[in-house]
Amino acid sequence: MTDATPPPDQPLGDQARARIRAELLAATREPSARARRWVVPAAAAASVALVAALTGWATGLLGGGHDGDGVGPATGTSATPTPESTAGPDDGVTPTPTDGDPVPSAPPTPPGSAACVTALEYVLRDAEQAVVFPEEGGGTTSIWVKGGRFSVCDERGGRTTVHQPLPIAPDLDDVATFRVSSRYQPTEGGGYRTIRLAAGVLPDGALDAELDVRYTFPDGHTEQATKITDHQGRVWWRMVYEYDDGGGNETAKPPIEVTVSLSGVRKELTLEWGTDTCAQANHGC
Amino acid sequence: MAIEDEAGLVDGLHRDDPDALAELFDRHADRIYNHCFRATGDWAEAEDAVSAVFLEVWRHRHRVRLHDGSVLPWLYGVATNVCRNLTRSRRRRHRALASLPPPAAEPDHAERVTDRLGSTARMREVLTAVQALPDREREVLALVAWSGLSYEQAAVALEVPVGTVRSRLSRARARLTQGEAR
Repeated sequence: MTDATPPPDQPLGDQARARIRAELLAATREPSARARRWVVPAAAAASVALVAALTGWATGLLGGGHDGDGVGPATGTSATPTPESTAGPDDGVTPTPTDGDPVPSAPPTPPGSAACVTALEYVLRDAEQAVVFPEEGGGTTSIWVKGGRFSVCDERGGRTTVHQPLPIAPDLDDVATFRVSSRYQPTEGGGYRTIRLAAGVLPDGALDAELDVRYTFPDGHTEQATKITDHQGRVWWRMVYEYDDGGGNETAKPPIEVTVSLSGVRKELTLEWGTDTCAQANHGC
Repeated sequence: MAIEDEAGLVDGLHRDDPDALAELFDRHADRIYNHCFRATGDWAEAEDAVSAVFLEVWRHRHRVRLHDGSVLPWLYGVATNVCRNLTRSRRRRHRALASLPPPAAEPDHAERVTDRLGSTARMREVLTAVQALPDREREVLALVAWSGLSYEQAAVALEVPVGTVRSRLSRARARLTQGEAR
C-alpha cells in the first residue's frame, strides 16, 4: 500500500502568528476616518508646500505648528520638535545624500522584472513599476503602484521578496508604514545574513529634504533611508540593511527603532518583533 | 476576554465583533495551518493560507455556522476551498516560472529554528503518493484521515452527504492499497 502518512503537526511560529493576527485585526477595522495628523488635506498641503518652497518656511505639515491641535503622538511614538540639523543619530550612519541635497531623479525606469510581476500577481495584481532604486549590496529594489496602493519588490541573492501593499498616502504616525521585511540568507560558512528592508513614499505636499528616515538595529548600526523621485514627481524612500544578527532568539534582542524626521519634527517608533518585522507577502519570515 | 463556547464565538462573529475572530484564530490557527500544509506541502504557503482562511471567515462572518457545537467543520470547509485555490494558483505560477532560473534554496527563519525541512520533504512525498487520487477523494482523505474529522464533520466541511464522504474515502483507500495512486 502506498504510504500516505503525513509528518507530525507543528505549531504556527510565534512571529507568523503575531503577524497574521495583526493583519486580521487590521482587516476587521473600518476604514479609518480619523484625520491625518501629519498631513493636512491635500489641497492645503499643496498650497503650504508651494509657499514653503518659495520662502523656506517648512510649515503646515503638522497641522499648523506646535500647538498640538489633533497632532498628539500615537501610542508608542513620541514627537519632539528639533532643529533640522539634529534630525537623527549620526554614529554609524551609512553615508547617504546629505540633508538638504536634492533627491536624485530615477533614471529611465527599466521594464519590470518578470520575477516581480509574478510575485506581485497575488499581492498587487497588475501594479505598474514606478521606480527602481540603484542597485545596492547586490540587489535591486523597485516600487510598484496600483490605484492608491504600492508594494515593494526586492531582488537579491536569487530570491524575490514583495511586501504587503501600503497606501500611497502614508500615515507617518502608524508604525505599519515603517515595517520591515526580513530574510535570512544562508552564507557559505553555514551561517545566515539577515536582510531587513523597508520602503515608503513622501506624503503629498512635503518637501524632499524635509523627510529623513533612519533605522537603528540591535547591533547598534543606524541605516538612513535613501530617496529617489519617480517620473510623476513622487519621492520614494528605501532602507535596506544586511548584517549578521548572531543567531538565537531575535525577539529577546533590543527592538529595531525608527526615527522619522519631517519638517524638523522628529518621531521615534519601535518595531515589534514579528508584527512589524515581517512585511513580506510572498514568503515566510 | 476569551469567549467560553463556540456558540458565543459565532454570535460574536455575527455581531461583527473582531475579538471573536481573534479568539477563533487563537483556537484553531494551528489546526488550519497543518491542514493547509498537508494540502500544499509548503510551510510558507500554509502560513499565507491561514491568513487567507481567517480573512475569508471575516468576510463571510454572517454565514458562519456550528455543527454539533463546533465551528471547526465549517472552518475546515473554508480552508479546503482556500487551499484548493492556492494549489491551483501555485501550479499556474510554477508553469510561469518554469522559464526562469531557479532561485537559490533559502530556508526561512522558522525552518532555521525548528528544522522543518524534513517534514516538508516528507509531506511532498506523501502528496506525490496521493496525487493520482481525484481531488474530491484526496480532500476527504485529508479531512478524515489526516485532520481527524468525523465523517459527519467532513460532510459539513465539503457540503456533501455523509454517504458520499464514506464512499470517497473508501475508494481513496482502495486505490492506495492497490497502489493505483502512484
